[in-house]
Amino acid sequence: MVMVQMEHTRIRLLKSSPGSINFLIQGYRNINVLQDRISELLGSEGDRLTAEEKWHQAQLQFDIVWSSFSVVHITAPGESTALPAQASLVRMGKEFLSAYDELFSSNKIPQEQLLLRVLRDTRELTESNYKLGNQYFAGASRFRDETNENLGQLYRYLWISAALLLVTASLLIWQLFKLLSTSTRMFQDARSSEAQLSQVVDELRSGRMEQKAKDSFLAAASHDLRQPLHALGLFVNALENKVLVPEGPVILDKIKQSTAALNSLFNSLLDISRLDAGVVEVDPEHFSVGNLLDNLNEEFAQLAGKQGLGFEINYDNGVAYTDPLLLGRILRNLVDNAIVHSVSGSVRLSCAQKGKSLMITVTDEGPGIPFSEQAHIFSEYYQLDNPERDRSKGLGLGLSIVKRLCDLLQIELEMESVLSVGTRFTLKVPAGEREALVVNVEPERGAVHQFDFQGQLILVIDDERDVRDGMELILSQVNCSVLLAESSEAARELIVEQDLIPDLIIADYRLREGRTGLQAVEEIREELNEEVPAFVITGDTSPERVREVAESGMQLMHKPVVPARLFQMLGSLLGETQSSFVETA
Amino acid sequence: VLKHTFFIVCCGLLIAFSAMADDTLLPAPESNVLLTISGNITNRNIESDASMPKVELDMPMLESLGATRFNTTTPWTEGLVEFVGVRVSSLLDFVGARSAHLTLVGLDGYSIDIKTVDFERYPVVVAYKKNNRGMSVRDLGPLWFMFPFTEYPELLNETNKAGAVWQLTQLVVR
Repeated sequence: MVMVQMEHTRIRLLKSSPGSINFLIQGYRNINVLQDRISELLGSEGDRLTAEEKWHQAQLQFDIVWSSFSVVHITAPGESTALPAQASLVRMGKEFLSAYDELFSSNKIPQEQLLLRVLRDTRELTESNYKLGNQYFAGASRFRDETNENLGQLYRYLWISAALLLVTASLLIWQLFKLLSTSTRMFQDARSSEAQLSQVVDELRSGRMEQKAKDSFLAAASHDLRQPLHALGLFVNALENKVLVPEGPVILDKIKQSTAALNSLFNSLLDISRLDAGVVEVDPEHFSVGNLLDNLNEEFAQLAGKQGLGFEINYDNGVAYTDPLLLGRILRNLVDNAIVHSVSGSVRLSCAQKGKSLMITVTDEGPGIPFSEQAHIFSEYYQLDNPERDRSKGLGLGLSIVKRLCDLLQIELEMESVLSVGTRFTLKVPAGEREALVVNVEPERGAVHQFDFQGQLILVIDDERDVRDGMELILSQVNCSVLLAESSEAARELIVEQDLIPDLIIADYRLREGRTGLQAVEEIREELNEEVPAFVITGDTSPERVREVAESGMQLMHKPVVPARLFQMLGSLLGETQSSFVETA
Repeated sequence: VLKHTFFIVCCGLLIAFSAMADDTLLPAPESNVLLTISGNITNRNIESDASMPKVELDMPMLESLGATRFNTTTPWTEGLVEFVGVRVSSLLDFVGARSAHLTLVGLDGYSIDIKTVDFERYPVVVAYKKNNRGMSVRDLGPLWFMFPFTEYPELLNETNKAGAVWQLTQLVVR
């Protein structure tokens, strides 16, 4: 559209050729010059030579005027046909020229009167020419106006185009921004996936991935391992009084020791699981560290002696404020480690108050830990100098448990170690107040205890026949009546059939067909319409499982369950009061 | 150093001499002068002022420079017209013109500059014959600066139309 308009304008401009203007100006000039020549001739009276010269010039000028009229092709600007005024001018001019042709062809100078007439006629001609010039310029200005108008139109088109362009541009920019935001989003997505990836890589590097894998592996493996271990324990205990061969008790003792070792290994695993699950409860109290150290002395002095190591304790009467059981676990682990890893020298346990803290140290004169290894020793399964993975030295969970427990109790743990000099662990325990000391009588260790549940009815739900049978044997030792069922349905049938109400329910956590002990207990309680005491036994040590059972409010025991603990649990749930409990950890 | 100076002086002399050698003296016209060429030219008529060189030509001189002829239509004539004239490039060679930038002046005082025409390429002429006849002043003669518009349509532009000066009397080389 714009192009068409511009072309139109260009053609119109072309039509108003400068040639036409040139002709008008030149023609006007030529006639004027002729007038001048005649005037000069009229003014040169008397001078013959000059007059002839002037006349000659006038003649030439007449020819020039003649020539200019002979090439008239004037058209008005923007028009292809001659204007009427032009036509009349040309007619006038040609009339003038033919009228005076003869006069100017002669070499004889005309008379003054004649020359005056020529002069008058040329004036008419110039006036006409002038008028035409005016018309021409009027036309030119009209044309200019028209051109301007066209230009105005052109501008309008230009404006519209500009506006269109602007709209298009804004649309484009908008699209661009949309694209940009999309790409930003994509970029962010990429960034987040990159972050996820780097997180995974981090986890891989730091071993957190391993940790996750390990958690699920542990949970699965320990369940499968605990099941037979659990049964083993039950059978071994049931065997106690039934081995009549002379070597029997000795062999049984060894079997018991091995079972105990197995149990303690599994308990370490369980501790880690429990710590990871965050279900270990901290029960801080003010207590005398001396008592704790004395207990440890009793426990470990003999073991150290066996290994040819000295064992020393040294303490002032410090009072600590923390969980005594957990602190005991920490110290036992550290001392046990020290004894296991030392070949000579002695293991020293000391406690000294320093400001508002008690500094408890465990020092050995063992081989020490290379500096490069020091960062790793608190990792799980990390063992120094045990390439053949001697299981009697434990799983390597000790220090890992120590670290976790210290974190839990907010105890600062420091380690110094010099190769072939020894290692010292320092615990910075918050000091307690002597006035707040709780006087508690520690139960006598290793006390033998007999339970008697006087024929109370225990319902055992377990899908494993071996376990059911083992439980029956054990429970019958403490004078319990036992009802065995492999599932919740079987149990309910039995209850209905025999019209019995159990005093307590022991359920395995994992039952057949994806059922859980928790569900079984709930169903039986519903059937009986009574809140029968119950607890769940599980081999599953995964933190999630532990938490789930804890949330159900039901008691939980982990396999393998040693009879003593089982009896304790029974006692606490059945309200058996005749016994005192024994810590057997 | 002396050798150098001598060489430079020799060169200077050589250039000066060759310049002088270019300054050809042409014969003076014997009949009516039809065209006067002046300006940036090296040659001149005998008896003309060396400081303001000019070459005046009469009809025999123009005719002696060789005739170029072509047929063309023009905005000012009817139908195909045959023009005969001196090719402008020959004319410029004849006067020793140092440029092809010309100012043309007509009998009526009309003047125009021609700057961009390639006279070597186009046979532009100073015509002295139209349709094999000499031209009178009334017939836009006696000389007409003429372009071969028909053969070279690209020449037909407003500048050249204005440059086709009739009644040509003067040519100034710029």
